[in-house]
Amino acid sequence: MGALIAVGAGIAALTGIGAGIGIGIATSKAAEAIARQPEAKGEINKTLLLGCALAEATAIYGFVIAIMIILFLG
Amino acid sequence: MKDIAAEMYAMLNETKIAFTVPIFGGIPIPSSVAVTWGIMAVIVLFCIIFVRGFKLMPGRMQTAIEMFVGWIYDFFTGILGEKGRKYIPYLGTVLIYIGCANIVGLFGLIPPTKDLNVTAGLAIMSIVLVEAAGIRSKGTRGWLRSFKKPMAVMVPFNILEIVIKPLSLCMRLFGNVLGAFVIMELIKAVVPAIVPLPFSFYFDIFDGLLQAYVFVFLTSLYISEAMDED
Amino acid sequence: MLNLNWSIIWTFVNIIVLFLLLRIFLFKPVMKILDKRAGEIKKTLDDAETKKNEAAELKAQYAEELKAAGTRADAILKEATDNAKVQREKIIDKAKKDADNLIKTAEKQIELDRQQTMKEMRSQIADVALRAAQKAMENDDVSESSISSFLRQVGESDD
Repeated sequence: MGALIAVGAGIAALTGIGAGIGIGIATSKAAEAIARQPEAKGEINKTLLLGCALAEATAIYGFVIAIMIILFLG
Repeated sequence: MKDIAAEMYAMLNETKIAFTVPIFGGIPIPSSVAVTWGIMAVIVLFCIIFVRGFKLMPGRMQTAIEMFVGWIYDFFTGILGEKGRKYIPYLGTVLIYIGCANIVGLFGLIPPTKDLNVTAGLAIMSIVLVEAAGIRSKGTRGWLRSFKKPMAVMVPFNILEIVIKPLSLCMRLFGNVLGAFVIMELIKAVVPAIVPLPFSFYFDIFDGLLQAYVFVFLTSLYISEAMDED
Repeated sequence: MLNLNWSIIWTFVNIIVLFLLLRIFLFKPVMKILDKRAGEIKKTLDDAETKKNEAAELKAQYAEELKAAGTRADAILKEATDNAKVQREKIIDKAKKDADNLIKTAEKQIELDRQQTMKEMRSQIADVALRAAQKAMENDDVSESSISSFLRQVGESDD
């Protein structure tokens, strides 16, 4: 049972993959955009931060669910 | 390993009671509320002390405060436009509160944002504000009609969004603080000295302020979306 | 801390109270002072603008006045020159006239003098002739030499 719970929590924590890829892509695009248009840096930074926050949210959900699995089922 | 888990479980799962107000047979005050009161007292005292003596020719402190408030106004006006000016004080309050609440961990207190009740309360107030802004801007009929945009099939999803938006806000803030807390506890369990310090700076200052920023940024984005007449 | 319960109400109350307090103690006074400063700056700028306009107006006025003064000076100079010319011509005319008069008077005087001299000479000649005749009658010697010696005598005594 404990092993299964651990596996479940690990699977929930896999959401971090998506968030990592998403934030990576967003940041690379933002770097390109800033290189192309340095004068739009502020706007790009704001949008990047928003996108990162939204992408990061999925990782956070996974983390919270993993914690809950461990705490409530363990 | 088992005792760390048990300890953490105990820390997370029980509502810590800071003290009990001895009226009506004793009202228990959770520690998050007590810390919130402390933060409120500090912020308000700070404001009273420094804002009261404001002059037309600013000193250093006044310039800093003015720059901060001016930045808040510029930032939110950029998102909300001129007609959203009346929501700025609330958003600024939330920004200051969450920022202080996340930083408070540096002083050895438990951040109030680690209490799900606080983040959930903030998120619920945010969604109430968003919908209120929508109603105020479009009228009740226009607000109801905005649910079937861009087409009628979207109605259940739009209604679902009312729940999802604050849930996402609440969980993002709570998850970040909780994640920071768990990681910090694990690091402290492994290396109790020096090593946790930079991590503490990252999680408490950088991440804390970033989450405060993101929280109010998303709230103002939702408000501007709700006010948008299309 | 993971469970939601009634203490969520505390959050509402706290945030609303904090919002009201911050609105009273932070946002309103700061925005008031910012607006006041903006108003002050705008007023100063407006003031400067009006001052600038006034100065430009004054400058234009002065330039105009300077121009008018210049033309007036020109007119005065011209008038003076004209006056001087007229005066000069008058003076020259008068001088010419005076000179003419003087010459005329002088000529008249010379004429008169000459006539006077002629008259005197005539009378003297007559006189000399008379005296010569008298001498000749006295000497009865009407030689060449006696006449010339007589003439010499007369000339010496007459001079």
